[in-house]
Amino acid sequence: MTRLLPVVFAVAFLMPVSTDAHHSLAAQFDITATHTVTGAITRMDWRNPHAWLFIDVKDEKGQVTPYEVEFAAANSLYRRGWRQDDLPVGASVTITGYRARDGSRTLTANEVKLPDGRTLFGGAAPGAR
Amino acid sequence: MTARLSLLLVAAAATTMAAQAPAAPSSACPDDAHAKFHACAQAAMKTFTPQKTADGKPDLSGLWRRRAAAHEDLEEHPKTPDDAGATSAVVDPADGKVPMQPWSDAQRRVNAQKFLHHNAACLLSGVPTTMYMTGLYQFIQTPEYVVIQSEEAHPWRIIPLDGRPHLSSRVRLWQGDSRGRWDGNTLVVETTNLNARPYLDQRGRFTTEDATVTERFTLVDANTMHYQATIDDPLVYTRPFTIALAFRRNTQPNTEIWEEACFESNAEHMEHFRNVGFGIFPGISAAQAREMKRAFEAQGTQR
Amino acid sequence: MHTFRIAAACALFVCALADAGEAQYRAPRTADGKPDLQGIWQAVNAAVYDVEDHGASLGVPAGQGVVEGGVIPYRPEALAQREKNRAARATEDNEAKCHMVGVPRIMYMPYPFQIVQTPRQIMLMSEYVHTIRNIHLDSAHPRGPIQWYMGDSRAKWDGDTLVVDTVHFTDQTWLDRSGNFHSDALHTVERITRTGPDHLLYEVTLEDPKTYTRPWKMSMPLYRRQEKNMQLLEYECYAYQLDTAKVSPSEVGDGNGR
Repeated sequence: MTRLLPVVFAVAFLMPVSTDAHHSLAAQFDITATHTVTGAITRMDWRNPHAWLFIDVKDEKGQVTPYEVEFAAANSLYRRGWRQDDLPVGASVTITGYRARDGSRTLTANEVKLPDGRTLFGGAAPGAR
Repeated sequence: MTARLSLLLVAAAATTMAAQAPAAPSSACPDDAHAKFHACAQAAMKTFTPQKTADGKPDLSGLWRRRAAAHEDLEEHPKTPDDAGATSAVVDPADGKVPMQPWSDAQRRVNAQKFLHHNAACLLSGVPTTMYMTGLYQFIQTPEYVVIQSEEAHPWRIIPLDGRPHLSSRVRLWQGDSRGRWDGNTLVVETTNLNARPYLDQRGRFTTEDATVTERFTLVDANTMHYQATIDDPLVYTRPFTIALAFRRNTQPNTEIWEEACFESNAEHMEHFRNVGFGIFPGISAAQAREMKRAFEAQGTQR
Repeated sequence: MHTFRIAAACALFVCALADAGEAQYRAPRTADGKPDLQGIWQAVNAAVYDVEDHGASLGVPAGQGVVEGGVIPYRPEALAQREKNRAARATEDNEAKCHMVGVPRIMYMPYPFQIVQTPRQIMLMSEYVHTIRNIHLDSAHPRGPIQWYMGDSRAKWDGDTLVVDTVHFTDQTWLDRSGNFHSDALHTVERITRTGPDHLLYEVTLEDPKTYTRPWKMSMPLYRRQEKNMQLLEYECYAYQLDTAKVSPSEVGDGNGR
């Protein structure tokens, strides 16, 4: 089980956010390379077809750069029992995703990991009905 | 890592994956590959007696999902980071190729490079494209109307069944003007008055406003609906062609279509597309198509 | 004098009959025995400009308000916000941005809407930016907090009146083009009743403790669009806006190597 687990983990959590993209990802994002940033959650816009997660990324000098991250649809989160007050504001997340072609600080949320290794809003919310 | 924790993580992973791809219900024609489904469905529908509404018509009502990514490319295309991939949705001609004319095949590549797919701007998808965008569909049926709504960007199609005439050609609509009638167990819908603005797929395929689209909706078993659309636009295609795909009944309990306020949510993100040079597809009118075809073919003879 | 008295008595008699007829109008039934609300309907009043009494100005007709009691009972700070909204309405109103306009405003927008009715679900579709209201009967709101422009609607029949309870709104929609507004705490209760072959009575109570000092009510008739072969067309507001928006020069070639 221990040997099998990392493969399952990787497959599950590295699936792109929109497995069935309603518009071309490549039109908006550079899909030739993934980028990784770590930052503190400031807020989230719970919208459809994409929610938007906003994080503050601090560099070695302590300079803060805000990033916006294109996340799953708010309705898909609602359906799995997540609600807006479940957002861990201030929590540090590590995001791996594609970057916007226009050079803005915009990423897709291919992988959004909390410090303990859990995926932000992964699976069903605890006690979800 | 304990066995219990690893089981939890596997379960969480499975839930994540399951949430993204609901299980298909049992079906007489389970294969999503379009041509295989089409052949199977055409045989199965001959012997299937569907549940009827109070007014004695096949009952298409309920929540449905289409499962194959025809919106990316109507022809066969592989899985990539950008595409889910699918077999060809084209069932006629049998080679699975969209019968484009040389000028329109060249033009669609220009379209795809210069003009945003309509859905990225939250614009309506038209007919037939509305029927193979992503997400959940609902059919609601009364004696007078069949109404189709889908969750993605909240389009509605209101199809009157009373045999009234089409609108005059001066009124052009994103969703066109649809008229429905029953042909045995099949709902036949004819759509005209399109405005030629939406693409047929993300490869820039298009029609002019002179196109006529004829759709057929037929239940194949209790959980499966066969859908086909014949696109007839002699300015753009060498002949009418037909696509087919499966709609599978929703299996998740307590499912409803919920609001997707697409444009309200996306407006400020449109700049990402504009910044890399995308425009909004203006459509190609019948008059423009004639001229573009003439110019393209004149170019050819000059070489 | 004698003739006048008879004429007056007859007029009163006719009036009484008409009142009795209106109160007792029995709408045709759907297959499941409920009043049939189906058809294409539209408001004919000036509420979309301003739900309160207002005079005319260029492009704006005068209107006798649809607010019972005359004025919306704003909290003081909300009234100040309404004035700010009104001053900025040319750019900040949902309709100016081509956004969905929420409930109850969709019911009195100057575009027809169509009701299609089944036992468990009523769909209300508007020509304005293809808005859909899905109204589910005999079921519960999903747990919040959730924010949808058109809210979440759950209905039941109270005799011959459809009672629609809606919550889970955003704070983005306005009640009219004059800046009247609500917060995301808005809760509406609508009552829709057929009063004749071609008329509905539409009543809505608005409750929002963040914005109003108490619940308050609007009401208006809705009229059937009687034209032969009437159908909804399209008003794809933002499509027209996008078409006129300036687009940065294309950085990509035209596909032919140029």
